[in-house]
Amino acid sequence: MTTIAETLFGSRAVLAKAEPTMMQKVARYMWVPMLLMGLMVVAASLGLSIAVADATSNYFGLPASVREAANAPAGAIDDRQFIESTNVWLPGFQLLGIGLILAAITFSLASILGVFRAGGGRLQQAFGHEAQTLTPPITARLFPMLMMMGLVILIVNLVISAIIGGFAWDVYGHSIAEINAASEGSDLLGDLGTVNTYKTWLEPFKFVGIAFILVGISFAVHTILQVIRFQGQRIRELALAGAGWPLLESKGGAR
Amino acid sequence: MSNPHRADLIPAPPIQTRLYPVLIAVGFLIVLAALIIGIALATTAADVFESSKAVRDAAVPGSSLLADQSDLASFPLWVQPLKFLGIGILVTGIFTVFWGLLRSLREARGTAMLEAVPLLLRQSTGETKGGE
Repeated sequence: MTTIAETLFGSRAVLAKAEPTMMQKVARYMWVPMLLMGLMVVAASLGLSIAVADATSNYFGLPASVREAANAPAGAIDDRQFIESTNVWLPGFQLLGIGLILAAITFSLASILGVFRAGGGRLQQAFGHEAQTLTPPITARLFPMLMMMGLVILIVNLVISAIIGGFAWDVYGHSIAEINAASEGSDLLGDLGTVNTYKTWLEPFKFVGIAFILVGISFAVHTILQVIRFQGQRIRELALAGAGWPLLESKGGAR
Repeated sequence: MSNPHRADLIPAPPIQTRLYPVLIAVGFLIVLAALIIGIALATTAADVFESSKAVRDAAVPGSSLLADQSDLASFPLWVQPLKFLGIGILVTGIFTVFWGLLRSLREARGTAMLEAVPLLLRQSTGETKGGE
């Protein structure tokens, strides 16, 4: 019988106890709170967007000559301040919600892996054999790190956006006429430059966070695929062993 | 201590397991490219907003200030869909690996279970009877 070593699929090891790993046990309880948090963030974003839409409606309900004048009404300035500052950090907040929902998917995939590990081990033991499993392949080691990396990027993005939102609040606390008249080297023009500069690179930065989480999900699914292939191989080995064929049992200790 | 994983009793891995890393890599690189363009545009924005509005509005055709303002207005229009293209390719990669998972469930695990479980049950029943 030829042996094909699937190195990418990891090696095999013997389980002392047919149960999920600690990470898989944690994942079982983590996916629900992550999903709920994600949904709450997305719902809160919708509420804020409606408030921004209302302020925008009020603001553009005024003639341009009034809202852009040096003595623009305080209400118009407040509306513009709210619109401009919220628009800096709200997209990052929304994508953090999506990121949390995607992280919940990653946790549920990890939980599925735990079910395969425990169930596969118990099945082998039920037929009187040692419970073999795959050693964690590279995809299994990478996907939790990729998910965490993605969430960290989304949180860092939100923190920076909130700080820049503060700058936007200061800038748009002035009337449009004042902002347009800001001279070179002034704090007002400097802050306006900071807002526009940061907004430009923060926009794609948050998508890098989402991309990390999506790569993590693909690796988690690939890990499940590897486990499924291993279980197909293993159950055939057990059947052949019962029919008198040589069985590959471990030579090492249990894990 | 562990042994190499044998895979001689199941079909070769589905083609999807070789396709999806390409899709994931392409999608991720597109999103990274969008970030790099965003950083380049941010330096352009910093240059533009060093000048007052009066100077920006008075920029003459052919000047670098007007060209920078044009870049600042036009680039985001195609960088935004580029990012979504990257995310779309990433999701296609996930779909591809799910497709491979489905094939593995059917061709590797499902077929093996169908053939091996009755055999294992007969063997274990035989052992029980033999033990009595």
